Amino acid sequence: MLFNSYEFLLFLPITFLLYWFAFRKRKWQNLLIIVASYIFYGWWDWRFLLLIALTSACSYISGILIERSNGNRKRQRLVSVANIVINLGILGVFKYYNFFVENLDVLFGALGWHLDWVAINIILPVGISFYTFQALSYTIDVYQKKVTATHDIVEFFAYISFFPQLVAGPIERATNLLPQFQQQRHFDYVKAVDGMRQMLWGFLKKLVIADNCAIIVNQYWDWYDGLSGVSLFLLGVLFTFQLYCDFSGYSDIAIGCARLFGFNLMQNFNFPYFSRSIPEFWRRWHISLTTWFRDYIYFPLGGSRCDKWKTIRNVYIVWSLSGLWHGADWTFVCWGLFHATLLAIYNIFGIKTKYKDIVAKGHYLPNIKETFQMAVTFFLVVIGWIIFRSENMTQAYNYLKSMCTNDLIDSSPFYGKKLLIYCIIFIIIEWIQREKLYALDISGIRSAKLKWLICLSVAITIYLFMSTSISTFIYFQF
Amino acid sequence: MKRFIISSIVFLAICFCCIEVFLVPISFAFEQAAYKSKNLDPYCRINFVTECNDTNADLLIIGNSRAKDSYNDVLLSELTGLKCLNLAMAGYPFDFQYHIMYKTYIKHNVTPKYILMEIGPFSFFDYSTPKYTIEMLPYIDREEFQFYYDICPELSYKDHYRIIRYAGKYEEMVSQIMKIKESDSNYKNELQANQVLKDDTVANPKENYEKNYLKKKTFNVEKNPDIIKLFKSFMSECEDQKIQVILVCSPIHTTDGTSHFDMEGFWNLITDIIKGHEIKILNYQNLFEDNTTYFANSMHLNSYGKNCFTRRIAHDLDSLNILHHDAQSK
Repeated sequence: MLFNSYEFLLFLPITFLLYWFAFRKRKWQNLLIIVASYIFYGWWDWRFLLLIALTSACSYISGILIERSNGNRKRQRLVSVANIVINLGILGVFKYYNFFVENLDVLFGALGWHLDWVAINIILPVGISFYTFQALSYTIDVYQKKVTATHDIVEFFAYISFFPQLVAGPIERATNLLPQFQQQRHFDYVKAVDGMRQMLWGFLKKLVIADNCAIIVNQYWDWYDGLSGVSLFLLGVLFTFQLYCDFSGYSDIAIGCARLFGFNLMQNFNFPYFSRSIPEFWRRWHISLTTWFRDYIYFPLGGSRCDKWKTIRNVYIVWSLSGLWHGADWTFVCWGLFHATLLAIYNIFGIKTKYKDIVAKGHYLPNIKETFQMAVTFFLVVIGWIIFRSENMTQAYNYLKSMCTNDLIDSSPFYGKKLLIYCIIFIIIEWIQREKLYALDISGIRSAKLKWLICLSVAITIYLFMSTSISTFIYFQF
Repeated sequence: MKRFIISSIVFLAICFCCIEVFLVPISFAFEQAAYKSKNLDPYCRINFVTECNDTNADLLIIGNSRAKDSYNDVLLSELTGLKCLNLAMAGYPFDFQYHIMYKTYIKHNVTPKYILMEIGPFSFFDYSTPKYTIEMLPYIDREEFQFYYDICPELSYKDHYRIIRYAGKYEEMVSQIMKIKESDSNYKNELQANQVLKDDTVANPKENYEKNYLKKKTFNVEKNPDIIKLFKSFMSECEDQKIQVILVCSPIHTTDGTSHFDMEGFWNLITDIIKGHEIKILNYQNLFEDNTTYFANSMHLNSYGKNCFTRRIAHDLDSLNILHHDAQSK
């Protein structure tokens, strides 16, 4: 079920009313969350439910087994590894099997052997990478004794399948979300209203910016021969906004929705396009995934507490895996390597990246240095997204090449100019609100009337400018 | 809790009222502006056809933008003595013209005696409409609504069409319009084909032709099998209803009689389609060649060309005795 669908418009209030009025006890509320989440997820395809149930069951059992083997570190490790293998095995079969077969086929094709008969037709379950990583983090945390294993199967299944963040994150850690399922929730008016506002802003991002940008981007992307260098760059910028608004819009809706049910999810985006460096960008973009890779792969590899070259190696390993996490395609791997290279450059030259605060904190405008830093970072990010968006590396190469070699400006019609104005207005609002958790965080305004007026304006803007075609979220495919 | 629920309901109610009280009149004003504006063609045309009640034309012109820009129905009426009506619609494929324009027209009017169908490289092309989506924001919603309204008049409450649309009742129609919109790969082909001359043929035809077309291969416009099938069934339908169909290929900008489209393939297909039917074909493909006096761009005549060509077609319909009707004696 999509957040931007009419089914969800009915599903949410029904679940909300049942949750707070009919199922007041914590256990019943958790059970309701499982039922609602399975309906939400099964709406795509009921067969997906078997997978999520299997993933949940494996992690639940492995958590208990790890705890029972207390004192036997070897056995704990064995259980932990077995769970990781099962979960990654499921992910591998459903997401990467055909990718590897295709590549092996190309490799062996040179020798005259063809493996194309081994390829199978598998549907990629929506959001499989998200809940698999969430389940994995639980087992690893139990193994590392960061969290105690839960024996309540209902709360664990509810934790894995919690519908607001099930298909596109944030990838929650057991340390943050699981305890919330273990406590009695009480309705909090301020929190719920804040959640509604965040949802509203998420819908604006998705329906007005992302979906409208998608029309132009999808229309022109393959047509790099016929557009000027400037138009191609602007198209890349539109995709940059599309992706951001699509994904962070989803996160806003998810976080806001969770708040209606009394849960606090982690912040997933923190105004990433105002970053002054690539490392800062990655501390602000898809925070739940970046920190996941940091905690479970980068740190165990040694992180940055080893010599420079090993650090760079670690960066490359993490970013190749991160690229692969996004999709079974070389474009994603190359995109990951592109960012790894940028991070390595920052590392080698010791460029300052650890900014504590958001840019120009307490000021209306950034200074010249900050503006330059943000522009460079944004440009590099756009280049990365162009690789990310391309269907294959040839297209990515041709696109980037055309951007440099085509005429700088031409007279061919590029209909994205109007959307760029939308994007500029949007980014100005984000800039003004950059010190808040999200752009429509108006809890600091005292006048209730003004708050209502702002929210009404946003709602009407959505109604007026939303794209008419109902489209899925980009990150579902990951 | 109660406060939250009441606030939410009040918020939704205020949103609804704002839309009803302020935005509907504004939308209506936009609608009227759109109706009068030449640039918002698809929107206007759909409105136009819904208003064509009891027009009862003798000769109906159907086609895409080429038909719209090639036939002056008022002038043709004067010259032939027949009641002519141009139902052409720019930027939409034949299935749209058939299902929306023709079928809607036929609901409220008597069957015409003649149908003049414009044919050309894009006749069987399933080009989508994202370009119009962009141009027509925010009118596109209205247009889509009208799309459903034409077929299901019970959908009278305009502003709730989104919910109605998603209720599943009109799935077929939704998929139809989505299909039109989503075939963006075809749309790109169309853009590629039209792009250059649209801007500068008239200014510098020869130079631009050499620069932009000679280095390109012949452009083969993709032909959609479903549209071809529909076209064939339409021919049979006309024959059953004793409607004389005249297929006309209006002038295309050519140099030395050569178009950059694969016209040979196109004519082979037309020959195949009309096999066994009593259909007249008039081919004016090379009529004006590269004389830019008549052209707005490579595929479309300008208003002067439109009138010249209308005179020519009226003359030929008469001289070839295609219109054997009572009005000819007038």
